[in-house]
Amino acid sequence: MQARGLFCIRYWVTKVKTRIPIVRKKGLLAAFCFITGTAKRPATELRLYISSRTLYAISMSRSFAHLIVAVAVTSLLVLACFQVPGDWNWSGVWEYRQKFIYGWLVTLGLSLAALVLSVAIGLVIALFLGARNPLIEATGRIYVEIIRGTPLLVQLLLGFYVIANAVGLENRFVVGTLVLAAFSGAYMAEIFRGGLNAIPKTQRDSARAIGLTQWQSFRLVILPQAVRLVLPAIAGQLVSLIKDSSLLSVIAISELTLNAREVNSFTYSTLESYVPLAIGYLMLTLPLSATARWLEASFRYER
Amino acid sequence: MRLTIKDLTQTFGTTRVLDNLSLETGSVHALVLVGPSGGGKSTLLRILAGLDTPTSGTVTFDDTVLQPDEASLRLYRRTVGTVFQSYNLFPHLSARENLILPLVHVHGLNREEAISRVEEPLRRFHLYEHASKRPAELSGGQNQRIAILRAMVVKPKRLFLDEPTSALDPEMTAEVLDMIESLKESGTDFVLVTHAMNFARRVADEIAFIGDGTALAHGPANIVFEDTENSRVATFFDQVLR
Repeated sequence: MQARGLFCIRYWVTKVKTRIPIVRKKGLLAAFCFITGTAKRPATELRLYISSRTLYAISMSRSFAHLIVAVAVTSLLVLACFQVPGDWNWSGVWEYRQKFIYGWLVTLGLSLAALVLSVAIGLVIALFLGARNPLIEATGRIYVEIIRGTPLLVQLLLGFYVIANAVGLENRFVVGTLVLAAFSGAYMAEIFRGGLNAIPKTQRDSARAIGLTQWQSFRLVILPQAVRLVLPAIAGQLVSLIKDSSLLSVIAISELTLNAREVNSFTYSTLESYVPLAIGYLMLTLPLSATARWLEASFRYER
Repeated sequence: MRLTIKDLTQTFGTTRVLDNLSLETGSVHALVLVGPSGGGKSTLLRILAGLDTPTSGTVTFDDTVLQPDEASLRLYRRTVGTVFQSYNLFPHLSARENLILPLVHVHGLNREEAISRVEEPLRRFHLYEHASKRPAELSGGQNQRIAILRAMVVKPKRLFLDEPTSALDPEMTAEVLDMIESLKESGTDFVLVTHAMNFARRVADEIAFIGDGTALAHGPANIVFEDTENSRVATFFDQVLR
C-alpha cells in the first residue's frame, strides 16, 4: 500500500526508452494533471513511488512548458499581425460584438445538439455494421460509404434544398443539425465499430456464462470497455464536428462564421472579424478536448 | 450430481471435435476431465456449461436434459457457474463489482444485499483487502480466485472449471487448487478440466479421459490412472507423470 502523502507514479516504457510519467490521481490533483498534460497512456511494468513535492515539481515544469510554448506562439502571431500593411481597426468589430456573441451561442447550441445526435447515430450504425443480417449490414455500409464519400457542403445543399423541401421540413436550424449529425455519425460509426471489435470474444463468453442477456452483456460489459477505447478518436471527431458547423453558413444559418462574415462586409475589417472567429471556435474545442482527456483518465483501467 | 452423456457430437466446419461421445457417471461430487490437448475436453465442458450447443447428442444432469435453444440455455447458465482458463473478469470493474454484477443484474438482489453477500466469501479467501482493485492490479492467482468466487456467489448447482490453473505459475496454481479443494469440502459439485494430474487424482471422485473426441477411459481416479490396457491412455500418463 502506498504511504500517505506519496503518489504512485508509473512509467510507460516504449521501445526507444522514452519515459513518460503517469500519475494515478484523485480530485483536484487529477484535474491539475489533466490541464498540464501530466497524465498520459496506461502504464505497464515499472512502478515508482515519489513524494508529492516531486510530483508537484514535475507538474509545474510541465505547465511551465505549456506556458512558454503558448507565449511563443502568441507573440509570433502578434508579430505577424504588425507586418500586415494597413491599420488595425477594432472599433467596427467591437460595435458588432453582439453579433459575435449571438453567433457563438447559435454555434454552441447547434454543435451540442449535433454532438449528442451524432453519437447516437454512430452507435446505431456501428451496430448495423456488426449485424449478422446481411441486409442490415449492407444498409450500414452504404450509409457510411455515401456520407463519407461526399462533401459536407453537397450534403447540406441537397439536404436542405431537396430532401428537407420534399418532406416539408422548413426550419433550417433543425435541418442543419440533422445533416451535421448524420455526417459526423458516419465517422463515429466506424470508430465505434473498431472499438466494439477490439473487445475480446472471451468477455462476451464470460458475460453469457454468468447469465446476462445479450443486451445486458452489451450494455454492462462490452460498451463500457469500448467507450474507453474509442474516447480519444471520438473526441477528435467531435472537435471536427464543431468546426464543420461553420459550413452551415451556406444554408443561411446565422452561426458564428456567417455572422463574422457579415460583420466583415459591414465594416470592411476582414482580419479583425476573423480573429474573434478563431477564438470563438477555440473556446468550444479546447474545453471539449480537456473534458475528453479527463474522461479518458477516469475510465482508465490499466491492462 | 449424476451426469449422462449420449452420443455427443460437435463439428466445427469439417472438423469433428467430439465424436459420438458417451459417458455415464455414478453419483459424484467432482468429475475431472483429463486428456491430450485438442482432444475435446474444453469443447465438452462448454457444452456442459450451456455455452455451446452440440451438433447432436444429449446431456442429462440428474434427470434434467439440457435443451438446445438459447433461451432455456440462458436460464440453465443462471443456475450453474463457469470459470475460464484466462479468468475473463471484467477489466473495467473492481473485483467487488465483478462479484456483485451477476447478483444484481441476473439474480435480482439490490446493491446492498449483493455487497453484504460477497463480503464473507471475500474474507474467507483472503481477498477482502483487494476487493476495490481492478483485475489489472491483481495477480493471476488472485484474479482466478475472484473469477471462481464470481461463479460461486450466485450459489450455483454446480461449477464448471476449464483449466483454471493453466495460465498460472506454480505458486499461484497452489492457491487456486487449495480454493477448489475447499469448495469440494464445502459440498460444491464441479466438473473440472485440468492438466494438474496429482491434483486430479486427489480431488476427483471420477475421472474421464477424453481423447480423439471421445471418452477413452472412465472410472474412479486410481483405476483410470493405472489403466495400462488402453495404449493411448497409458502413453499419455506415461508422458505427463514422468
